Amino acid sequence: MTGREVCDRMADLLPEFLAGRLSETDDTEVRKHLETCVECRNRANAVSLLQQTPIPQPDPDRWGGFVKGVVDEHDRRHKKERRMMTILTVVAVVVLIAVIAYLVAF
Amino acid sequence: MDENLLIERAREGDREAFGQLVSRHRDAVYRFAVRWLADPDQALDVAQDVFVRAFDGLKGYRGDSRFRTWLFSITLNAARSVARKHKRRGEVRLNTGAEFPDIRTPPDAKAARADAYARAAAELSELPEKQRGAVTLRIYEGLSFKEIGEIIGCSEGSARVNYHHGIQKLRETLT
Repeated sequence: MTGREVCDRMADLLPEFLAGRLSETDDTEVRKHLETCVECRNRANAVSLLQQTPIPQPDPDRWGGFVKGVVDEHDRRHKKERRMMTILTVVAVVVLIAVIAYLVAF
Repeated sequence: MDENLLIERAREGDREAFGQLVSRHRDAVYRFAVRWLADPDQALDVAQDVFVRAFDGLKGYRGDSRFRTWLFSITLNAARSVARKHKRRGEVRLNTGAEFPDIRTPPDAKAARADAYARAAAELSELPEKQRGAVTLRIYEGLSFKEIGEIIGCSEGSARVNYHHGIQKLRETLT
């Protein structure tokens, strides 16, 4: 493996390494590499900072009623679709009647 | 209850089963959306939209990928639409430390840490879409490059390259 390939492999393993989810062998390999490679150490610091960055919290009221909100929104969209379909059907029937009436009259 | 059974029932219109699926995955969907968009209100709208679309689209879910991976694909599409809409309107997102929770450390250190977090979130949100998707899904959700490729719409190798480029940019700006 070239030096670049080793660094790429380390970058692949960083998320699991920082979360403490690597096997003992891989963990030791990453630790040893980070001791000698400044570039990978800097990458590890950047990934670590991102992982520690807290998640911005959602509005507690909306979050509390989230499941109900999803189902209500689903129903609302379907009602809207059904209303549109009804309107389109009525318009189509009216146009059809008008065309038939025209053809009969002339 | 087994997830496949819940999916099967939800597909047949069982709202309770679908509600259970929403409860299981809403944290992950919101987390991905908020990391990608860096805006909690927009992320919440996206999360809601994702599950409404998923309820309707369940018939098209064949189970080739994990259910969560499928939800992340919908999340990414919805987040892209929202980002484009807000970009068209010319809205500017403010990444301030105020969005982050209180950290129990001395005032100076707390402020410095909040600044670092805000900067990290801002830099992540500035990455090109595919790199942002790859980095977010890899470092926060621990997804494989194969799964990431399915979500961001590229090969496994390309997902890996996007991750590496993203990490490299973040290394340059954050350290």
